[in-house]
Amino acid sequence: MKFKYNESENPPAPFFPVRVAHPANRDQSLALPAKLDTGSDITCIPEALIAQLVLDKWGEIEVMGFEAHPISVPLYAVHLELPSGKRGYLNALAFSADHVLLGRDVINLLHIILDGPNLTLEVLD
Amino acid sequence: MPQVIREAQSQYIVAPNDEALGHETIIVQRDGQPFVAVVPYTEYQQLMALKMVAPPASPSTDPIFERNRIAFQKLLPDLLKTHRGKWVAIVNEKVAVIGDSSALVIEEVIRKFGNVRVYVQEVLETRRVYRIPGPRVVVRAKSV
Repeated sequence: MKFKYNESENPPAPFFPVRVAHPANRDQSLALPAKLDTGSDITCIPEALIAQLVLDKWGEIEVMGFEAHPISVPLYAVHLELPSGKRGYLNALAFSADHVLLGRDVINLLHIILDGPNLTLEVLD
Repeated sequence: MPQVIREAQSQYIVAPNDEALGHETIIVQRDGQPFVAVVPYTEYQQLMALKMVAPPASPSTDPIFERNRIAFQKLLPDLLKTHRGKWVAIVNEKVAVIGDSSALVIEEVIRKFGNVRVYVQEVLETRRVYRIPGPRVVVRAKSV
């Protein structure tokens, strides 16, 4: 499946749509754009989803951005479904954005072709 | 810690060639009270990165989570002997599921217990530090 980069970002960034659901109740779900970020160890979800999907805290991890000191943040379990139908559970942390940030915990499970000059990405599975 | 404190005056200008700029935190005072801090850009990026993640919830707001977390801490010495590097789920203050990844543990918890309050953690002496990106620039809002 091919997707256009999001050109509202500078430079344009690879996005594709995903569906994020409550881990135990998949009827509670939201479709959101997801940005690929190989620089992120872990997937992040918009903070607003915690209230929208009534997510409980499942754990906590230490995170560090740039050179900042590590801080402890809550971890939330979610069910993630990709456009291809591939799906699974994952732990994610919340961040201040309106899109999902797919980290290497998800990216490394996929075959993806980034065609930068044509601003497209293809998810092969 | 701020290293330079200055009293703002009407003609005060932060000059780009000021030696303190980019190296120190400058606190500008008005009527003897701090009201503006000028920080090096790298420090600003660190602060923005911290703002990107949701702040940790207060332990007192989630007593079940806190009880499971404390139970994990008590069980950790024994878990390190038997399940180092694995992920565990604590339900009702007891080890409920052990697995090779957090995803597998979540799946098993949902299968066995449904929507239950749980604490999931990796069995390590020192918690791993995850790297996440800092703030990114969005030129204009646009739906994907």
